[in-house]
Amino acid sequence: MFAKLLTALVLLVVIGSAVFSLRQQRLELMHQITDLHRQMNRDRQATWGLQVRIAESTQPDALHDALTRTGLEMEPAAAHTQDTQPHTLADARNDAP
Amino acid sequence: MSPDDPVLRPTGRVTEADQSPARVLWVGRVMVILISLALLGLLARVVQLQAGPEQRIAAKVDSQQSTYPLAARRGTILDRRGRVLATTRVAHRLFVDPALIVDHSSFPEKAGFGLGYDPVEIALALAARPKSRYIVLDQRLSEQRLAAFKTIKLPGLATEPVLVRDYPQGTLAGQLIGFVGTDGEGLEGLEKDLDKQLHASSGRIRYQRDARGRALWVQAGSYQRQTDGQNLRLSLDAVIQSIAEKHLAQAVEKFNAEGGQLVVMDPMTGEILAMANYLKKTDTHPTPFSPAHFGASDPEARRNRAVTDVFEPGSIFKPIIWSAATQLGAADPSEIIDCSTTGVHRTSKGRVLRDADPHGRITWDEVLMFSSNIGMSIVAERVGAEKLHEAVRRFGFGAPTGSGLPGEVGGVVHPLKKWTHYSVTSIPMGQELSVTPLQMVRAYCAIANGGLLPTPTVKPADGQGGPLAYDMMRVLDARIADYTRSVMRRQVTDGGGRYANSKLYELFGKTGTAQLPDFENGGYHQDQYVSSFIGGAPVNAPRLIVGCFIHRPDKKIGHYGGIVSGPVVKQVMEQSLMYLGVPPADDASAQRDTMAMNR
Repeated sequence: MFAKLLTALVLLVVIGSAVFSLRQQRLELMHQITDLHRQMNRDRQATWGLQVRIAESTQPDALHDALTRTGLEMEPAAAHTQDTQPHTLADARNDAP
Repeated sequence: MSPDDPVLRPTGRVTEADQSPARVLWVGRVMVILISLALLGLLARVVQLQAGPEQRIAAKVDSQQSTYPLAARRGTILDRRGRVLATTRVAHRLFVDPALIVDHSSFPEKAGFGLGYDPVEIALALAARPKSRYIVLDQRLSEQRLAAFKTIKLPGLATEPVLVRDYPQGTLAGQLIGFVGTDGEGLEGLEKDLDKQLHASSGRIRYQRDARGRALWVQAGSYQRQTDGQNLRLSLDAVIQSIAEKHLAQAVEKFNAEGGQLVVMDPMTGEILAMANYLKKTDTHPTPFSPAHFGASDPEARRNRAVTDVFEPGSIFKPIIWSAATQLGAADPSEIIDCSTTGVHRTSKGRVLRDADPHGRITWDEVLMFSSNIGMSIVAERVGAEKLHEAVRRFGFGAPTGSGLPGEVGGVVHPLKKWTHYSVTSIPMGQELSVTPLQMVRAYCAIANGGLLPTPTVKPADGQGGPLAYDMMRVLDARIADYTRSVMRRQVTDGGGRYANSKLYELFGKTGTAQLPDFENGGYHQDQYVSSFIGGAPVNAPRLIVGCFIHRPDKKIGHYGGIVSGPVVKQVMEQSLMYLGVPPADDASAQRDTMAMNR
């Protein structure tokens, strides 16, 4: 009987430990998820700032200034570009309701 | 001997061995009961802690939970090629908690010199609210100051993240885009008009924290997701807008004018590619309007006058009436009109009209080429008031264009019953009615695209919140529109629009030098004008219509539309078409095509 009781207690301890261990794992997982969530939020907000800085650096006047500073001689794309867009009078007429 | 031997078995007495199983059973039962009771007690305690914990414990639990707002981003406004025009980012607000300051006497100097502020201002801010524990020193810390803040570590000085609206293109299209208030709500311009789509809803998250305050995990059911606003792409092109603003500002300053507007439209779709407003620099608005600093701006400088303000168009209105009259058969293009050799003409109602130069007998084509008031009035009388009124209304004047731009007005076209006997001869000269710059450019689009009046829009039909298709309405026969363009081409090559004549592209257009009405004394000011030019190119398949309107240029420097606005349109047109990749025309083919159209 004692052996049975001991077995029951040991099993209880083992099961309890396993449950606690699982709980701890779940909490650690939740903690990691929370950490990742916070990190993602920080990164997301950091990209907002980077997007603004990129936009400021690539605004038309900034690009013009940069090209002037570097002394590059740029040719207009128009000289080598065929106008392929469907911008014809016929298009406009046909599309009209 | 066997233990079962009855001789050896004790009788009438129970041995310890006999008692042990019963005792074990008894002890076991007691233990089971005790453990069960303990577990039940524990369970009851758990339930009590969950359902209704004591105040002391509840306070402790609450102190280990923190709720954080999840910042949602207001929608970004982009130009047609995805360049950012307005966006939201996280900045940092600098504030002071005086209760945490260690040395009050040295704090202003340390904070001021450390971060680049005036220590006196910091001391005054602290003295103004001595009991407050939250005194804001800077609503938006610059990157340099934020870096300096992280190094000085001064007790009492702190930052907090705050969402701010940024306009990376600076002042570009400021009046059109508008701005938002400190709470992120759109207050003016497209920011206000498109607020519902751009609006964002912030979320919140509740953390369980450990004894050191570190976030452990998110409480179940305490995560409310944020909803970002919708990103919107406009038809505006930042490069063309930049070109337009630069040349408009140069012209306003060069001619010492009050201000001006410039509109660039795609005649085939009605998309607005640029809409520039510029007021001459004065003490009240020393710099162009900047949405990021709307609070410090002059309200006069932030109005989008291309849609909110009206003016009498003057001669730029003539192509509208000319094309309508030609379509109605009131005059044949080759018909000779007697515009008087004296430059003075008396209408059938006795009104005396004058041309700047006497033209004598010229063709109906030349009436438009030379912008003859007399020739226009003669043919307009043939058309009659009713049909003239109908034509003006058909081109969209007297009503908002449908662009949906904030503050747009419809201008003034008097109802027919209010027309006087002067009206029939005034309207063809662009008098007795008022229009917005956008209305005028839109009407020229119909001449450019073969007679279809587009609805101007800043939202491209890309299936992302814009219209599903472009809205067009036929107002002119295609042949008449094409022919009108060819005559307007001659206005640029041989008439008053020659200052807009480009060596790269074949422009067509019309000049206008409208006197400003004198509201105090009646009649018109003799020295105040709106100098305009509207042009399109290339003449055979127009890609752009550019309208420039300069208000009150200094007459001593120049006031004719062709001189003041013509070069602006030419430069904007050349640079924009180059940028769009439209091949320049060679001179030979340009002449051949123009002759073919004239035939």
